[in-house]
Amino acid sequence: MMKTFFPILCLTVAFLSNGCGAVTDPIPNSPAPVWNVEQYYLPLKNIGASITYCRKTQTTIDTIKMTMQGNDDSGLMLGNQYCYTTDLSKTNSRLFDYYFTMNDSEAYTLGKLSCGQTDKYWLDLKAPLTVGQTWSFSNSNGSYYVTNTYTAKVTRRGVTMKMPDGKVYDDVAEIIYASKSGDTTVKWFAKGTGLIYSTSKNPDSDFGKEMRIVNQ
Amino acid sequence: MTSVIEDRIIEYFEGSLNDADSAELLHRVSVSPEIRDLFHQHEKLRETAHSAMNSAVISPSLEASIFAKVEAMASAKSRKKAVMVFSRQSAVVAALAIMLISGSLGYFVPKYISDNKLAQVAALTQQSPSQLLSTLGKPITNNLTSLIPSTTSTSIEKTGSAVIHSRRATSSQSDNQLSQVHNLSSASTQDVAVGNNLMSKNIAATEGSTTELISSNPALMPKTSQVSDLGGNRRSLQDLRYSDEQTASTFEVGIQTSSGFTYPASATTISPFADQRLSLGYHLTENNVVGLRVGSGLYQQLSEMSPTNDGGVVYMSRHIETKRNFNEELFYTHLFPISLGAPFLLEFTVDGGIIPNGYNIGLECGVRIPMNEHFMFDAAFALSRIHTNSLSTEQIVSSTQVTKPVVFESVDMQNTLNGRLHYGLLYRF
Repeated sequence: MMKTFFPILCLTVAFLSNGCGAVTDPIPNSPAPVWNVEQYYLPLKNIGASITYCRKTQTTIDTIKMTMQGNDDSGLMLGNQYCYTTDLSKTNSRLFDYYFTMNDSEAYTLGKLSCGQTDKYWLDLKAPLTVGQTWSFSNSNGSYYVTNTYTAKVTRRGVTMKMPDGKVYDDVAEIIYASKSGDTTVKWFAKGTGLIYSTSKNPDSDFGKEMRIVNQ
Repeated sequence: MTSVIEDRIIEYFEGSLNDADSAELLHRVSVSPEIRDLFHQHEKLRETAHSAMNSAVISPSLEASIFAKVEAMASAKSRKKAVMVFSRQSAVVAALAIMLISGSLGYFVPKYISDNKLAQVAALTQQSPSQLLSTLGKPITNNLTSLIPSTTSTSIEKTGSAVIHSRRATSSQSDNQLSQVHNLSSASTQDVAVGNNLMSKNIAATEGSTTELISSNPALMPKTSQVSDLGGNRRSLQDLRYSDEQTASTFEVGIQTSSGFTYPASATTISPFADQRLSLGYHLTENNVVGLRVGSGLYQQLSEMSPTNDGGVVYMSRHIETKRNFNEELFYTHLFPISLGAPFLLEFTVDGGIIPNGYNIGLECGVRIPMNEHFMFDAAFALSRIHTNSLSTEQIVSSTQVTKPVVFESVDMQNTLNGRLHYGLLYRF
């Protein structure tokens, strides 16, 4: 009897020692909801940090450098402690300051006016950041006469994105912003980096038809 | 003198007599009519007791099934080991198994054995000793009557599937004395009424035809070169049913279907009859089978990485999907004959094979239930690890050359688990 059971026992042990854990691979879990969206947004608090983007508009291709300047003084005076300013510049020329607001639950673009007023309000991220999460916001895109309502939706979380320069970003969130006017903007935010890529059908977007991170 | 020669005869039938003494005994049987008569009386008594019990309990279909099983346990290769496999001990075990199968007899026979009295035979047959002896033929009656000892010492020995009832006599006894023994013992065997009925039926069936029964069954015929001792070392259960030229089945073919589950990615319900497989096995020995299986089944495997271009981005996605694939595998099965009311076999199998773009290894545990000499119902629960040969997401990302941003959406699950309940038929040939 032992002569029989022993080989079977060995085979069973071998089979199991191949790894109880290795019998199957772990179940791929859906990424957990993110409640602090700051980690997926621009490093606005990191004064002096800069990100370089390659921007394509309808007619031109240029490189924009965004340098973080921290909390905006005027914003603080107004009591908006979450307003941050960045310096946008092209090669050999300074463009303008660009303003953002960011807290744990929301991160949005104010535009180039100031912390006190916005001409291109754009709610980039809203907690919880999880696939299927949606939110809406109104955007005038600098116009006094037209306001579009955008619906944003998180369509992917935790995916990997590889750029043409070979740089790979893990844990990327994809958000699609769509309006009834026909504009569809898609932005990809990488954890720890912020905006890494965006596409837009809006010809008047400050970020052009396409903007892609090229250096950090 | 009579007791000594009778002791020899009894020892001969028990298989405990050595070859020299056996030869001497057979010689004396051949030259002495008295000894020959005594020899034949014992032989017929043993055969009658055996056949009575045997056919009283086992229905023809069950008997066929059992002997098919027994036959299956002696392959051509293992036949050389038949002496070992079907040794006295094995035969006893097999006999016990048969008794268990037979249910009621399995209950009655131990009592029958333990009481150790000739009268129990009469009680079981619900006949008087005279009637019982008359069923064995007049010469036996006369002889046994004359051989009943004053202090009755009856031994009933069970070896193999036979119950051997032998009697040692030192002096003559009358029919009345035998009746007394019968009356005493019949009172203690009232609780074996069912067995009595069965035995009665059998005795009735064999009454007056003992000689015919014995002569019609070669296995029961005494041979000079082979002791017709059911409990001896030289006879097996198989020999009771099949002649030596009977060939054993060494191949088996099976067809099975299955249902079950897949872990962890059960995207699709594995409905009944989802999988099918055909197996061809070869019995290395009676209880060890190797073979080849081909099947069609549902497997959870990684899909190919498929790119889709959406505007300025390329999406590369890969996920677990349910695929129907063919597989070919080798298996090794070890069988454990078991008898719990009916004969069946436990089977333990290890297998491994290939599937498109992967492989599977598994363990199975199941049962085989003989339906007749050739067919068996087979059911087994199998756990198989399904492995898909594929690159990890990291490897794919690093090896992919991109000209525009690429979004990789992929899971790394190369290994899944299939749980299946396979059920079907096996045919041995």
